[in-house]
Amino acid sequence: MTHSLDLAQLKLRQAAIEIRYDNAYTLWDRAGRIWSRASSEWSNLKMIEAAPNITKFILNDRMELQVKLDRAHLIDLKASSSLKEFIEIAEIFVDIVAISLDISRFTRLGFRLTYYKNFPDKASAANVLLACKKLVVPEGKHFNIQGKVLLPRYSLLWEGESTAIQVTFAAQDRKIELDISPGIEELESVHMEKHEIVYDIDYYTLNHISKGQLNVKDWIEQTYHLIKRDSRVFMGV
Amino acid sequence: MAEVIRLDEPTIRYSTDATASDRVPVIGKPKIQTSIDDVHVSKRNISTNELYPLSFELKPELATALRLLEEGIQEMNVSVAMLEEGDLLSSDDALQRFQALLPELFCCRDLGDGFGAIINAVFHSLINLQGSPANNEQLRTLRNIMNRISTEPFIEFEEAVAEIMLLEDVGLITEPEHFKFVADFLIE
Repeated sequence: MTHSLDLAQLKLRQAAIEIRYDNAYTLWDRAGRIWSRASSEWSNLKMIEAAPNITKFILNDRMELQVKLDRAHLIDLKASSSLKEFIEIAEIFVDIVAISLDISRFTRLGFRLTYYKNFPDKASAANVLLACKKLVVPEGKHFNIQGKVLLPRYSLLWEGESTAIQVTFAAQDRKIELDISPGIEELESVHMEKHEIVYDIDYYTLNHISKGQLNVKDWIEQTYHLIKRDSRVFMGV
Repeated sequence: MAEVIRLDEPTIRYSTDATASDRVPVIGKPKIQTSIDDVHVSKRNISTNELYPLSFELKPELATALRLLEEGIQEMNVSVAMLEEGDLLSSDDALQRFQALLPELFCCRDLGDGFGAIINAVFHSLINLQGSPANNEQLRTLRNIMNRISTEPFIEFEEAVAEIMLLEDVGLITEPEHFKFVADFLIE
């Protein structure tokens, strides 16, 4: 028997915040300053990439922090449902980037969450998504195929005057492959396939935001509350 | 000597088994970025109420501050308009109604040091007038600073100080009067 889903049944996979701004050419002078400040806040930063246009670090093997000429992001790859650590890091990170690059306004703010739920096979993942009744699917024989629906995907952009969300609700297969070089006997290669439903919601602003208008903690908390409150509308519950 | 073996990142692929899915798109994004890309002339600033739609439930002090600021700016608009029409009494009435909002606005100072500093400075600016009417330039400066914190309630303290200096530039005294005696005492 299949049931429709709500957010409480899904597990949060990752949370991301992105700030965009007009091209900050001072990045070419101050990239080092940004990461020096970041290092003084967090000791466990690991450099992943450092090029003139992009610098990327990993914090605590969990948070990806990246700064580019026109945008910066923080992604929590193991986000907790409280978002406590994510919010704490995001507040400091946005502050460091804005101060270091003399950003007085943001052209876009984005907050994106990805939820998932695993299923034993792709058919059961598809059936649960279809049970939400957001998609009208054909029945019978078509294209000379007596088929069934697999990997359904439902996506839309819901746009207002100043904010918008991009919602994707999809059944998908996720293949993880890690090949170990011959000669390393201690480890084994990993090849696994997961069948999952993913709920991906990206909430963002369409208009400019002054720096003095932004309180990262409040913005994330309020947006997160909105997502938890209203997601059921898009999940067919 | 220890041998360090570093593993590559695992490859994660999603269900994209589409025909010819690895083909480069025929129409790619132009590689030349024009200056037009950097211009956002058509965009307006988002309003603070739009940015924080749940303030009444989750951040009451912000909701209160925005409501009071809106009310205060309206009173300042009336005050400026009446002064320009030569109606000094109505102008002063509106200014007093604005002044009455300041103690409650000061209670919202948890929004930030910048916010608290500005409300405090505006409050003392009016107190230090000691009943004399504010002139047009002073009223306009007060209105501008209230507009600024209405759109930027989380203003940094350093920027708030720059705004407060503008009040002093038009002859307003932004600190409690007894501060100068304390300063004199400390100098002695």
